[in-house]
Amino acid sequence: MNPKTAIVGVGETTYSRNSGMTATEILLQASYRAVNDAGVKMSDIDGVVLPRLRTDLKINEFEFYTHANLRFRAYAGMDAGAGVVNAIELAQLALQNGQANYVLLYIGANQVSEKEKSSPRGIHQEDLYKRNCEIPFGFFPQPVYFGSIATRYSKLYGNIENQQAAIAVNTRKHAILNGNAQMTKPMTVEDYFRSPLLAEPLRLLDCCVMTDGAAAIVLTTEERAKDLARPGAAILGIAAAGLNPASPFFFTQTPDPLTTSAVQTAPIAFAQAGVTHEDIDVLEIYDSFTINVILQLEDLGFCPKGEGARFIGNGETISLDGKLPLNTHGGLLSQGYMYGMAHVIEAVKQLRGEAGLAQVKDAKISLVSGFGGWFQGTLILGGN
Amino acid sequence: MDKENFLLPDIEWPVLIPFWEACRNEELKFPRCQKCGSWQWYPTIICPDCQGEFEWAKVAPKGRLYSWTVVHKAFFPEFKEKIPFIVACIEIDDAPGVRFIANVVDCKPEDLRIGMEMDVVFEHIDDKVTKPQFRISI
Repeated sequence: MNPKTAIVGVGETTYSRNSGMTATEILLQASYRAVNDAGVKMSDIDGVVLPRLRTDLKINEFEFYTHANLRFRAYAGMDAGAGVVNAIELAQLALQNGQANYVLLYIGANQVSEKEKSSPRGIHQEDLYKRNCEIPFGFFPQPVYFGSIATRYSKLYGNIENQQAAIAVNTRKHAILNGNAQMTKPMTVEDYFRSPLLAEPLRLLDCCVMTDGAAAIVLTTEERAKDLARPGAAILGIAAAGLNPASPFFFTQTPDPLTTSAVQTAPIAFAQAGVTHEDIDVLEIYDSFTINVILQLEDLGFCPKGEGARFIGNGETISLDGKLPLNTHGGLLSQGYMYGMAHVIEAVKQLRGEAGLAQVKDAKISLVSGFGGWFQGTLILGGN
Repeated sequence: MDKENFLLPDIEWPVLIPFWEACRNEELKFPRCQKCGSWQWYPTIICPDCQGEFEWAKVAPKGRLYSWTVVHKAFFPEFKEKIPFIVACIEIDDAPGVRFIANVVDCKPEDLRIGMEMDVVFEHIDDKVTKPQFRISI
């Protein structure tokens, strides 16, 4: 039996459009805060796993995966939210193998103030297949990819505009309660429908914000966690995969752009955790775009494919006092684009009872769904 | 060097030279494995199924509409005069597995349906570049 592991420390910088610090400074600030929160010293950290952030174009591993048509589970080099979950999976392995006692994971960038270096749009613009086969036709950047996905979804399963609005409005409500969110102006459904169309059916308010900031967590074994002053969140189940895509990076070429790899990872994570969907108290889904929430909700198994919109309804189900509170920190849509790491941190805070005004009563089990580059990871956490 | 124009492909990028050459001749070609016959888009170096080599094979310029979006924001300045425009993805009839992106011309978005038959037509931009475009089949 593998030793159990836990997330024992979390740290975040302020999320803003201008950190006023270098990238290294914000990564350090988040990391020191995570280490302090865990009640350990930086010198106790003997393992580091970096959730892969593909800003270095000199090594393009996605190109390799595409050429080799790879579909796989568990490796280092997934993207964005999937990369965050995958990094936690690798940190757990390092702890279980005895390679490390305390593992630090950090991620962050000055996406706005150092846009040229760190904008998530850049890696798509530089890719030569996209540059030559997609961009000349205006198929770029991410809002266009997901507009195209949302159009197909809407034509197959029915109009989802009201549910897109419900997700955006609900997420904003949570951001306002959070205390560290970029978007804190109240949003009504009317505000949503007044926001400009970018790529139909996506409006500006269907899209996540860009952020200067960093976030970090510390993991250790459950045995060591017992000696720490603060409660940890136990990792009950975790899996990350890229089984679905033929081309992780090309959103048009994946065999089914309406299905994420959550269909593979959720059954694994739920089986490991020994819990059911009814047991989930808090749900944190990578919400780069509202449609992405609907897809993952379905693929995680909370409702059948095509019924995500009905499940969300007018937003009552996913509100703080609903059956399944969703993105209680304000998500990528309204809190900030922190690649999914802030989703993990919120999932921990909810279990510790430290989610402030957005605290879900008696939250015992939380689920994080991280998405990125057509990879996906599912993480189920349990409180004490 | 001229300022990069994002409306235009780099027709000298070695990977796609045969593709753009075919377009200039108003033909549509995609890579097909010489060994197992499977189609590959975008081009890969060798066939991931059988490690065979690819050849550029001609297909009928016809497909079925898979998805689309109407773009309202110019994400590059070059597109300011184009918005709103339709960018779509079609599945090529003769090349199973190939999903291909271009703009839909001469059509209103409300006329589009998933699975409808589309023709690929060729727009000669200048004496070097020819861009494929889609039109609803009649």
